[in-house]
Amino acid sequence: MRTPWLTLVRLFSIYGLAGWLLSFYHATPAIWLGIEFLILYLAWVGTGAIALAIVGSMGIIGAGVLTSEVPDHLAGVSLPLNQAQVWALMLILSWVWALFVIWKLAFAVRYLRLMGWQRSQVFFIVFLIVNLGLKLGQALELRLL
Amino acid sequence: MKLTSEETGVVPTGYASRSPAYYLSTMQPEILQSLYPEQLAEFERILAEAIPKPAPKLVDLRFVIDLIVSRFYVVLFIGKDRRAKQRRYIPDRLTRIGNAIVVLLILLSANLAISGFILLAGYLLKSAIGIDLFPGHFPAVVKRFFGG
Repeated sequence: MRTPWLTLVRLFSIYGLAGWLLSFYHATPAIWLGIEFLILYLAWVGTGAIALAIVGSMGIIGAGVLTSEVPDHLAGVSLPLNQAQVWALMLILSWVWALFVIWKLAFAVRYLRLMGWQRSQVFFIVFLIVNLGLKLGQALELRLL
Repeated sequence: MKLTSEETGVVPTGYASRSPAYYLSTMQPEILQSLYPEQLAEFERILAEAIPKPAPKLVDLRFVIDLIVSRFYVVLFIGKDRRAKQRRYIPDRLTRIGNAIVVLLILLSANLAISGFILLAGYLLKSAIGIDLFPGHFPAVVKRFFGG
């Protein structure tokens, strides 16, 4: 079943995990800013923003490749992989997650507009919900809650 | 008065899959009924000939790029070329130059994006498999290179 409110709850949860991931990687303010621009663009445009948002996600993951170290949080976890493999696998999974969240946000915007919501209404609500999700994910990772 | 799809029993479908019967159903009913079977058959034959029969496409990719100030659509078809004659589209010199510049910019951007994607995905997959081409962690090598 799909309703506008359920769509917003899903968006909130999906972006909560994204916020947790970004905080886990110690994303720099520049990366956070880049993500905010992508969210603004997707929330306003919808599905027409997917192509450029995918290119944007590539830039963000590229920045992650250049700047991210193997997260310290995994130091105590014993995996049958070396550190570089864990680092690469986590970045691949983050990239897949980034594509998924882009897709979900773009189609949520389209769905809400199809439900008769005004463009500006969709923009403000989606922007708010997504940012609340990101902040909650960040706060959970930093154990602020 | 035109007949509706319910009255004719012909469901209007996508442009590419419209049949002669569909076009005939859009005729004025009085005119349609006044046609002899031979005339109707001839109309059907001509319509069948006129309806475009696009070649099957191996790749049929269509998407929209919305730049907020303007929207563009991108279409990529790949299929067997069955055209026997030359295309009759001959643009003027200025249009040709403009087209060439735009095509060059689009191809360069697409090339850059696709190359970036392949390099990034290839590098991450290589690292995930455990192939180590250079000593040390890549971000550390980059930082050292820039004197960090």
